[in-house]
This record gives sequence, structure tokens and C-alpha cells, in this order.
Amino acid sequence: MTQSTATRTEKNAYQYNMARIVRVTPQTPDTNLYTVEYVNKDQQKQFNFIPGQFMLLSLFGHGEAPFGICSSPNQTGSFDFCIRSVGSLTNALQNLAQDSIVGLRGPFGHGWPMEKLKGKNVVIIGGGIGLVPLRPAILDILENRDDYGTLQIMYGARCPEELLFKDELYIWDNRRDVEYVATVDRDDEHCWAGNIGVVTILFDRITISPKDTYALVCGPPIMYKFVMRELEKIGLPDDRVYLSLERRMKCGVGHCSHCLVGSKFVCQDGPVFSYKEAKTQRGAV
Amino acid sequence: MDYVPPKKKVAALILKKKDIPKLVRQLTQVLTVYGPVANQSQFKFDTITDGSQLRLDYDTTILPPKKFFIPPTEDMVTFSQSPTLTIHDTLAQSDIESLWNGKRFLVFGVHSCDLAAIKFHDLILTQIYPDPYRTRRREEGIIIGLNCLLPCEDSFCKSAGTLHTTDSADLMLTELDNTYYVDVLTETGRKVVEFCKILFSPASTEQTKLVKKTLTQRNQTFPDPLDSFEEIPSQFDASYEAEMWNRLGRRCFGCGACTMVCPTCFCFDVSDRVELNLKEGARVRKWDSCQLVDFALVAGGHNFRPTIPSRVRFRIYHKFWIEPEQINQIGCVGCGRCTRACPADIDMIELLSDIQKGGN
Repeated sequence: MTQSTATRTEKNAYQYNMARIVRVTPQTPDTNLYTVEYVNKDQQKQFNFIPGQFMLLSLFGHGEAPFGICSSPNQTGSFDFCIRSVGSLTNALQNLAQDSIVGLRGPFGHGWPMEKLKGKNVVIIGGGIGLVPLRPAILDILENRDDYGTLQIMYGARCPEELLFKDELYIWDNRRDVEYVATVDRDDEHCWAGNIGVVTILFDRITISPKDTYALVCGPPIMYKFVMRELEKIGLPDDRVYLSLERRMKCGVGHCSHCLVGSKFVCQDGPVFSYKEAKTQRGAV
Repeated sequence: MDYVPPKKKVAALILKKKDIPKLVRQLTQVLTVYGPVANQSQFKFDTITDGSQLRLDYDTTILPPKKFFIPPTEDMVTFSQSPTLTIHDTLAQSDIESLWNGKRFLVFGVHSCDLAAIKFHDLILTQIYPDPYRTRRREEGIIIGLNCLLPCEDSFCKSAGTLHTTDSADLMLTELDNTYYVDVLTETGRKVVEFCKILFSPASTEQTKLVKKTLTQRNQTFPDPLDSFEEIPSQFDASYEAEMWNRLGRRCFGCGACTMVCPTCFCFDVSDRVELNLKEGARVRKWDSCQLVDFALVAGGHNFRPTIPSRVRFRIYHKFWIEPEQINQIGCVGCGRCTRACPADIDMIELLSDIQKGGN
């Protein structure tokens, strides 16, 4: 195993750093939490990221794709990705043995505005796998709970078995300092006692005060328009609503142009945008 | 429109046409030389081993010289899984055989539109991080430009303002009877001349005057089919929802030929190639096209541009709105290659005039 040996360009954003998968924790039948650590110990010590940032993960022979970092920014010694198997790379990942080596580039992009959230109320709205890039922000807030006002979490999944981080959801649900509501689109197995419907029905189950409140939103593309409409109704100003966009990405550094949303690169200018900024870019929401 | 000579000029020299083979012979001793050659009824840039292959009378080439700086496919890293994972970056120093003054190749006879496109890539591909793969090739290449004296079909370089671009050229040639008038524009250009100095003689004041006159006359005779080209970005805004995109979408086959021949297109795809032994392979970067159906498709099946009209519009959106927003330059040099390559006869001049007319 050798590190990539690029020397020609001072800052080669295409340089891979090798990481070992130290643990695989199944979340749902097709989604796993992968805990990784850099092979290079110093690199692992120096590693830090902003909640909402992503990395490009490589399996040589299968390709490379972007994934949001999923662990708390305060976690040391390792970090997590939560990945659903939907294509050749992610299927290959699911079949990897523990201790397998993956290549990483990043972290890239702009994350959630954690500094601005200090002392403010936070509403977190996640749809499906969209909870993944929100989790570092939730964990960071919970680990520094006194630094923030109220925390409300709204989470929707397609069906009960697709809910991620079930043990954590239970904890959030039972904490007095977190208001947690969830819904599923359908419950074919009749195993769910909670809300049924898309994530926007939760706006009837929860009272959001627009005063000093920020919203962080991530979910499937179709979700944003409807959630933004609800937040507008509540009177949350556009510059206090943040969303994480997903686009096809091949480079992560503003070259391949797959992720362009208007004149912005989701990989570098995003993936997190304020709604105010996103609105100015055609096709963003 | 008077011809304005290049600002940064080291010297003006004369090269006899009959000495071109000698020049090529000398250059091929130290560099790989590319230049325009005949390709059936068209022209293409290809490796030159003999000066007689050079067709400096070419009108345009099928592909622009972009391919020497951003090759159609390029290995970014190679890897081997046996016994353990080893990765070799193709940018590693050991891969670079510097042939001559840090240069490895020379492109001969690049027209102004293509010179402008190379300059455009210098800007657009260094916005956030410099693209290290292109940067390396750019540093390794020498460019000899060539002024067009006759317009080629379907082009609109005069409207696009690239007719007398010398940007990115190290030497710029202008045909003058039996000779080429040579503007030496860079230090690299000076070294090339120095290396072959027996073939160059100083230009006289008359010859300099004559070049200026020739090029000024040339400027007057070139077609200028689009007024206020620089206003297209703001006009595009108004045409965004216009009917023209559906109309074009019904004609377009979605083949992506326009983007493959475009000198300013640079989008790429990255995928892994695995050798038959399943142990070795490479991560490969290759030209991609926003006109192809899966360009904006994400895992899970959502496609952000699922229809042909949305993709046709995106190509124009990128060149005439996004890129001006990003680097204050329109991403079209007016070479006309997209028009010539289009199997559905979509004409860029027509398309742009439709935008100028509001798009309906």
C-alpha cells in the first residue's frame, strides 16, 4: 500500500488518501454505516470537517462517488459514512470485508452554518437518506446542547424499516431537550404506530416559531419545493433556511461540471446553500 | 475594424514557406509536433513527421487542438491489487520525460478561435483548484498560431470577438506571399526561433505594414452575422422559458456531437477500467457531454435534466450564462464546429439569433 505520489502540483485535489474500514454497522437491509480511519495515523489525528461536508470515496476497480460524512465532528479516531446500495460502487462496498482499504478525497464543499446556529433555535428536516449529512449537525448540537436554543427534528422515511439510526431516534424521541417527530410514507407491514404520510404532514404535528430559528433541510429532490413552501408559510426568512443539494459529481473540485446548479458548483459552493442563494440559481430547488 | 497587432511582442521575423519542412525537421528532433493534415475531405490535427504533411491552408479541423491539452481519455491513476493495493498517479514526476526546455510537444498552425478557446480553458479550469492534468499538458506544450485570411463556413469568430486573438500562442504566423510573417510573442517562442535561427530573418518595416494592411482588409471581409454578441447572456435570461428550446429539442437527436467537437467544452466523466486479470486497472477521465441522458442522473434514478429540450438549453445556458457569471467570458469562440457536426442541422448562428429575438 502506498500513498499516491503526486508531486507536480502543489495542491493536487485529486490525491487519494487511504482509509481502512474498521466497522460495518447495518442500518437497513440495503444501507450500512461504514466506520473508517485513515491508514496514516497522523492524518487521522489531523482530520476534521464541518457537518454537511462530503468526501469522495473510491474503491479502485469500481469507481468513486461522493458521500456525506455522517459522524459527529467531535468524534476522534475514526469517522463514518452511511451508504445505501444503489449502484455498482455501493454494491461492491456492501460486499467488502472489514479492514478493506478505500481511497478518500476531501472533505469538500461548504457545510451547515454551525457558527450562525449558536444561540439560535434549530429545526432539522430530513427525508430518507437525507438524514445522513444532517446527522453530524444533530450530534454536534446534542454534544454542545447549551450552545443552542430549541432543537426540533422532523424525519420522514419511505417505510418503517428504512428509518436510519433507529437507536438514536429512540434517544432523540425521549430527550426532553429535543422535539422529535417522524413519519413514514407507508406501512405495509403494519408495524408503525406513528404518523403516515410525506414529511410535510409533520408541519401539522409541531409548532415552529420563526423567531431566531434556522432550518436545515436535506432530502430527495422532490421534497425541497414542498418543505420550502411550508417554511415560507411559517415566516422563516430565506436566509435562515439551509439546504443540502445532491447532484451527480465526478471530481469534487469544480472541473467536471456535472454538479452545476446555475453558476454554482454543488461540490465547492455547496452542497449546503442558503435558500436565499439557492433561489437565485435556476433548477436548484 | 482595424487590425490591432499583439501587445506583448518580442520580435517580428520572416520565415520562408519553403523552409517550413526544415523547421519541422528540426523541431521533430526535440519535440512531438502536431499540425493540421488532410483527412479525406476534411482536416484534422495529427502528428507531423514530415513538413510536407502540414496543410497550413486548412479551413478548420474536425476536432480542435483541445485534444492535446485535454485528451479524449486519460488515465489519472493506475492501480494494482496484487499483492496489496498500489496506486500510481500519472502526474508523478517520474512520468514526465522533459524533451526540450520542459516542453514535450508543439502544436503548429492553431487558428485564432482555437487560441481563444485554449485561453478560455486556462481561466475556467483554474477557478477553484487548477486542473492538474490539463495544467501539466499546458506547461508541456508550445503553440504556433496562424492567422486566418479566409473565413470558414458556419463560423462567426468576428462576431464572437476572437478573430484576432493571439492569446496562448508562442509564435503567431501570418501568410505573406511566399513567406510567413512571425510575431514572437513569448519567451518560449523566442527559444523556438533561437533553436532554428538560421531559418528566420528580421521583418522589414514594409512587411510589418503589409501584415497590418492584410489583416485589416481580412477583418473587413469576414462575415459578422451576430450583432452585440456580448449581450447574449442577458438576452438568454429572457429566452429561458421560450418556445425555441422545445422546437430545438424536437430536432436534436441528443447525440452530443456538438460538445465533442467544441473547443471550449471540457466536461468529463471518470470511471475505472479493469484489466482482464482483475488485479490491475486505471481510473480514467474521458470527455463527457451534457447532451447525453445520464449527465445529470443521480443514484436512485432522479434525472435533473431528463428531456432533450432541457439538455439543449443547458449547453447554451452553460456557455452563454453560467460561464460569463463565473469568469466574465462567454464560453463560445465562434468556430462553427457544432453547426458542422450536427446531424440535425442545428445552426449555432440561427440559434443565437433566435435568443436575440426573444426565443419565440
